[in-house]
Amino acid sequence: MGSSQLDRPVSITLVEDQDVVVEGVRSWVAGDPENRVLIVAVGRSIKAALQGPGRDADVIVLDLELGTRETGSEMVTHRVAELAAEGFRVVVFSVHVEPLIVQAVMKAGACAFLDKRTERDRFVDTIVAVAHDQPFVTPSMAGGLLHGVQLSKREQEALQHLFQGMSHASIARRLTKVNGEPVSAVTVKDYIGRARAKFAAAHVPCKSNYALLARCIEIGLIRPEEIEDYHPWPP
Amino acid sequence: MTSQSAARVEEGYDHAGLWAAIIVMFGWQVIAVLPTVVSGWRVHGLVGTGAEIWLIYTALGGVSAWVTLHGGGRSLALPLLVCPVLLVGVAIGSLTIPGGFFGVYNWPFTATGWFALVALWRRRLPELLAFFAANTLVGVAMLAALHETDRLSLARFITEAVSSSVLEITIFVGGKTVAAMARRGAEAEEALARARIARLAADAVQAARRVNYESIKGTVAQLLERLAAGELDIAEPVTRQHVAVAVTRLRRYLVETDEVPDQLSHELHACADAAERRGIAVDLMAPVGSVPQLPVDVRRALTDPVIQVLGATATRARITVVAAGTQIAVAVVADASLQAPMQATHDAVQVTQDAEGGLLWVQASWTGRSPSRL
Repeated sequence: MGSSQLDRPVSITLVEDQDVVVEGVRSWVAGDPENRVLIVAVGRSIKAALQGPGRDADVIVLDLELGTRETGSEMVTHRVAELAAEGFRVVVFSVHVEPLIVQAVMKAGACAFLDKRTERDRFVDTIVAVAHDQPFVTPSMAGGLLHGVQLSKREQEALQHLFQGMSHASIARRLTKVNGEPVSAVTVKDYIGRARAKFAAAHVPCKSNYALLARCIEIGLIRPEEIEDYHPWPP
Repeated sequence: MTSQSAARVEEGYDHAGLWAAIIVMFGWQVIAVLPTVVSGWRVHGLVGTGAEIWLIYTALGGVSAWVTLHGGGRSLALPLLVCPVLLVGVAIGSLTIPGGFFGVYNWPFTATGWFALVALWRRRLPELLAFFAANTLVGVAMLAALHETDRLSLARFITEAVSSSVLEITIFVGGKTVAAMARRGAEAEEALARARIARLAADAVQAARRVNYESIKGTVAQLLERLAAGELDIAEPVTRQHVAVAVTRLRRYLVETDEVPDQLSHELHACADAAERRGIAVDLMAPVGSVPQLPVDVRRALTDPVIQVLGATATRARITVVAAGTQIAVAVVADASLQAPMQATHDAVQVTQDAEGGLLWVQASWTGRSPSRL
């Protein structure tokens, strides 16, 4: 189930029933110049993927719609909470980017959400960030995080602009300080990270969420007393 | 098909008829029958007056009234409880009350009809007729048992049987007929109201289409005229951009009067579809939050910047809608460039834009006055 001591490539298990997508993922991973990610298992179902070495991968990449020719496709949204409860870091990789679905899987304990159609260029970065328990937010995730937790005005604005498709630098130009100067891209990253941490603190108390919160405290993004529902893991 | 309101009107009239039957039933029992029972008691003593039958009939009448007034009595349970007891009461009364079948104190035969009327109020007419037939048969049996089968007695019996049933049957039929007429009247009123609403809606749609037509004339016709006059060159990127914007606006105008729950998203879909037909990859995200119904001028002011950007887009665009609190923000990020900053076309809509590395971000945001408007 992975560890945060990653002086080696991040291992992933890919749960995907479409061969063309699997090939696509293989090519994106192979195209990373730093070779930061290694695919250790691929399965057409969650059960098949987690047999053998797939169970020990750092991150599970899960397509939300799985199936076979015989059974037809089926949404596996409800399995996210189960996997999170077992301690897996789950990254959902799906075309179902409706904010309510994104919010539902994030509430269920998913670490990140990737839009299958438009976020292939963020694939490796997202996997690496999740494996290191960093508060990483993709534009498709941002829409799901906008509602469901109390955010500050700046956090709300930063998430909204990220959802709209703006880069951190562009968002920084939109968010100005009191003196009228733009904030830095690092500050924007902090706003987004804090919003991600608030969401993790407010929802499923799973291992990956606790690890994320611990990392946020470690890097000074939030203070322990800010997390109302924080409980040490394991309880 | 009977509408709910027409059914309620019918139910109201039916209820009024039922109340009338109940009042007559208890009125008859108290004003006509009770003095007979009391005077019989004085002449023949308590046993020979049918007082116990009077009490049982009154109790049955009370049960029937309570059940039917609360909407019950549609099954056979109530008639099966009440009617046999009524008929047994007729038999016992005829055999035990002094004076014979036509005696002054033998009242049950002529009183049963009112109790049966209330108990059978929610049933069909043939069942009420069946009860009166059974009542008549019991009466004939009692005449035979009392040896009162001479012609005069039979003639008198027929008169009593008819007079004690015709009024109940008339009330039953009359009540149902009036209720049905009231329902038909209500249905006719509703149909008329629906026709009026449809007419008003058609007028509103026609007016909206007329406004659309004028708008289309303002955008497309002018462009076509200039192209026809040779003032514009279709090979020029600016002209192609103007044409793309006009075509997308046209698509939006065409769907503005569609009846859909989220008109803003529906119109954005039409804009995205028009751009995709030109080969642009448009990523239209589902809205975040609940998008309220917005006036058409606000929707136009929110979608127009998107149309302008899509008209200038080279290959790809991402469109998002975020509804938060009293604000709706429609944004587009695309590989496009505009020659001049865009202006808002509505007082309550603000348009902002930014460009970075070939990507253009434009946001049109509308702020409502209060949360109640959302």
